[in-house]
Amino acid sequence: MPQGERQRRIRILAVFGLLLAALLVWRVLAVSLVLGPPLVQLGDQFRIRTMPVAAPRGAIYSRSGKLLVTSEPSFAAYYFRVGGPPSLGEQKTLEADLGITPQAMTKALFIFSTEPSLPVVLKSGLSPSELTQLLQGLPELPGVFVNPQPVRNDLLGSVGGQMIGYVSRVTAPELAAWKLPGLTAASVVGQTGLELAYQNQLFGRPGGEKVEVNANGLPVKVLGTTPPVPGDSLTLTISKTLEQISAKALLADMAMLRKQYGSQSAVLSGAVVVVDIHTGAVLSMVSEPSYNPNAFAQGISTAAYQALAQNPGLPFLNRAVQTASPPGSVFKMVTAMAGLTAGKITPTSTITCLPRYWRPPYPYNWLRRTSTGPNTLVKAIAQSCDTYFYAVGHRVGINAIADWAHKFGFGHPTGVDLPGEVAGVIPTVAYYEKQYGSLYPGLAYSVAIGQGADEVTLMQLAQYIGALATDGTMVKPYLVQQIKSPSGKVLFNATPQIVGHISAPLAYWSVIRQGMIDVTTPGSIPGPGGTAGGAFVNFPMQVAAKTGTAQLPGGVKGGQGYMTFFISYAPANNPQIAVVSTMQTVSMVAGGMIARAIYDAYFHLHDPNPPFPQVVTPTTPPTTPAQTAATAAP
Amino acid sequence: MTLRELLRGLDGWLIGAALGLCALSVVTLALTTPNLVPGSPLYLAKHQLIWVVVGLVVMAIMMWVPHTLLRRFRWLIYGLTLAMLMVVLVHGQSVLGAQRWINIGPFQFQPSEFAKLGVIIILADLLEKKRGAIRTLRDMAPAIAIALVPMLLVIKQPDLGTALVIAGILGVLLYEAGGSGWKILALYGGTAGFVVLLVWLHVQAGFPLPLHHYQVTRLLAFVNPNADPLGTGYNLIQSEIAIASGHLTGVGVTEISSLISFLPAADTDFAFASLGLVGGLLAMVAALGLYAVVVGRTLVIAHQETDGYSSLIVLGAAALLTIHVFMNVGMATGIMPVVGVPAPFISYGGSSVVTDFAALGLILSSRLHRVHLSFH
Repeated sequence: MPQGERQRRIRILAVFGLLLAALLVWRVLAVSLVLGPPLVQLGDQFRIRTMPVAAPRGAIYSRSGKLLVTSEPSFAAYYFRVGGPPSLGEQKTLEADLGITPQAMTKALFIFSTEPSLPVVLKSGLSPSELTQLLQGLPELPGVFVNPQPVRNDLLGSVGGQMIGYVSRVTAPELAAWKLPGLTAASVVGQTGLELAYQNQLFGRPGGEKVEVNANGLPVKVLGTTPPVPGDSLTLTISKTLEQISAKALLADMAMLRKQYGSQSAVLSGAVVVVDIHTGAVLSMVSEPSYNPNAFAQGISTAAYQALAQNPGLPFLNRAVQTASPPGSVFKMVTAMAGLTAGKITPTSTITCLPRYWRPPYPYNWLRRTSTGPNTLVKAIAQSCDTYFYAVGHRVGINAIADWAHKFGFGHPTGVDLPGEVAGVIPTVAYYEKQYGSLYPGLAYSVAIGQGADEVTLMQLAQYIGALATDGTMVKPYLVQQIKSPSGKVLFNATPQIVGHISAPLAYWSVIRQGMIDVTTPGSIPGPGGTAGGAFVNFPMQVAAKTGTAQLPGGVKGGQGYMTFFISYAPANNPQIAVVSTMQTVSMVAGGMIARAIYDAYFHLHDPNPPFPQVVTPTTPPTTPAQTAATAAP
Repeated sequence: MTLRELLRGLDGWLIGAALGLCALSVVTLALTTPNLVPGSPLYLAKHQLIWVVVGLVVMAIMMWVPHTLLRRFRWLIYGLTLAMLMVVLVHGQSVLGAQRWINIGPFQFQPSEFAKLGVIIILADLLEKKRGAIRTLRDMAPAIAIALVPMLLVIKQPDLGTALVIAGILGVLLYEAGGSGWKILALYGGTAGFVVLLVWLHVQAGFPLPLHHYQVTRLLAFVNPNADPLGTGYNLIQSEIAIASGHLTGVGVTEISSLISFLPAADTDFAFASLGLVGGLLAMVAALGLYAVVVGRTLVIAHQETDGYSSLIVLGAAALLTIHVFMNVGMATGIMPVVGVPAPFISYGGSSVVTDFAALGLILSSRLHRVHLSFH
């Protein structure tokens, strides 16, 4: 190849070089003058990040202002890095310096899989010495910083755990669903109970630290801080004392039954609700077995959660509102009112209470072996004569009973301010036809004694007995009396809501009341005694009540046993509060002694024969509630 | 050869421009990393200065060594190059996921930088022998094979940038030795098209590729940096922000410290963007001008060269410097993917600076020995 050709090729390469140079000059000018400047504006969005700082959730107080649930100040070590987790080497260093396990580290950093720019909690609840040590060592731990982490503390513990509810880290669907200002994937939100129902009020508004992050996404400088705004506080209608006494009485009764029936009590559970009859204010609500919401406050271990989730006693279930079951005999006042208003019975008419109801084609049995003779309505209620009500059911029919049940609030939620309230079922002829195709003879008898397809909640029974106590006034039960801003401003004040008035002649109300008063009259059956007479011997206040026992599927032995109810109000002549309870047990009668203990405490009666003297002594301050919650059912 | 003769062989334009670039580098490093190493202020600037001095010494040695001597030991040099690249793969130090360094005493040494020179020295011989007879792809095959071995070794590190630089040098040398320009362009275009097809298949259908995941994502980020502004596109966006923040004459000292922390690899891969931040458009244009002087003078020297082997060496060195500049500045301004090629004389790093000066030495050697021949 001649020299000239080589030189020509070098010149062509030089032209190439010039083209490249021109391209670079054009590009440098373009980036410097056209493409870059808008990015400089946008640069802030990459560099300056807001690191959320959790707001303390609003406190929850009892009706008298006693603290029930707080957000306690606590400090946590956080890790913040935009774009991803620390490298494996850095993780090892952090594990060693903070004293956390690799498992805990992996769990903490899991959030990076969905949210690459949020602070993660590496270690909660730092002790003062850990805090000091960490604050001194922070410069050597890039990305680690210390911030307050409010920790929820339910002072009632497992008492009424389902009513208060628990809080935990927001899940992805919740994050999408909740429209809370400042909500991030690192936020802690209410999951159940009042914590969930009053989420918007309790959550507050998270603050933020504006930080400048460097090229590695690590914060280098705090530019400004927006302090978090604590959530609004709730003042409940709940009495702390009564709440604790209800739980203790229920647990004591359950313990007694367990002792008495031993292994037969396959499932032993129960609930108690106490309501102010005139306002609907719920004074106490417990459900056992329960769980301690504090177990969730800083994240629950998988094992602990599994133990709760697999407990056959269903500790997460609030048996006051979230489940409905056949009411049994407590339903009889509905049937009575249907019979009276339809003119099929009168306050003075009698029906002979035989052990069997011989209307063809099937004999319907009552539990008693002998006849108690002619029964008036009063006696039929007091001694819960099934055959009396079979006859009433036969005379009025299923639909008339259903109409009255609806008037008393059954079949639809009471509207109490708790999540997951169920409506229950009130069957009609149409309902049975739809479910079973046809009605079998004698179905009305079952319905008449609350043993058909009916299902009611304990909360509905509280509303029902309130209406019976007030000659037909239906009030809506509620749990939150007041909502206050952090500065103490009252944002909401509940007023009692009368949701209906059941009109019926006063004579009907009073004859039913008399029957319910006789329920608690001590004495023998078929003598003058009532079904709950034994539980109220020597009790210094007259209580109106009704007992009920519904047989659950599967029989008693090895099956689910009975669902017992006890609904009551006192004083009978001047009704103030209603106490309703339910227990799933192998005993047919339960609840009277629980109500007795609660009335004793509420009215300061100094009961001469307290049913649970060892646990419920209203004159002494309440001790630590029994922690048998999650293990109540063997 | 006397020292006087050696000094006379120095090309004022070339050396002046290179030292000007070094000065920009040291000043930029001093302003951007004043306290990088605790207890040792201006660590990087001081060390860069030391590397410049070492580079000048290496340059002088390369100048003094005639190309004929290098040609005689070409296989030894090539063998050493490959051996070092293999040592890196086996015993290398890993920094940021890439295994590019080996320790020699207190120094860390990056053989891939020197490998480029080794490839130039052996390719120049091979192509000089075939000069004018490179017509078909088969004629090009031996040169391609010689270049491909070190390319594959550096890709394994993984260092895609150096592999691309070697490929570029190969293309320039093939052309200078008389290869058909169109065939070379077709070869490179075809290869590039094939790679794009493979990447497309990889992304669309999971076709297996011998590339690391980050290399694929960087290639994709080059296509659309805003798709993942905090991930792979982050580098480019931060680079463009740094360049634009510098305006005409750069930002003040206090602003530098807060802005520079967002620029990844500000002292090495994104040294040009650092320069833009510190010195503005003016400094960047000055640097491009100085590069133009270096490359322009080198092309003039190649043009004047009478010996074909030396011409190839000088042109290889020119290609090395030009491709480095184009890739680094292109990377900082978004017309090249982020593949981590240093900006000659500006990026911090001993291996890089010394290699750049060694390349100058190769260029000046041609001039010196030519001058030597013609005057004696």
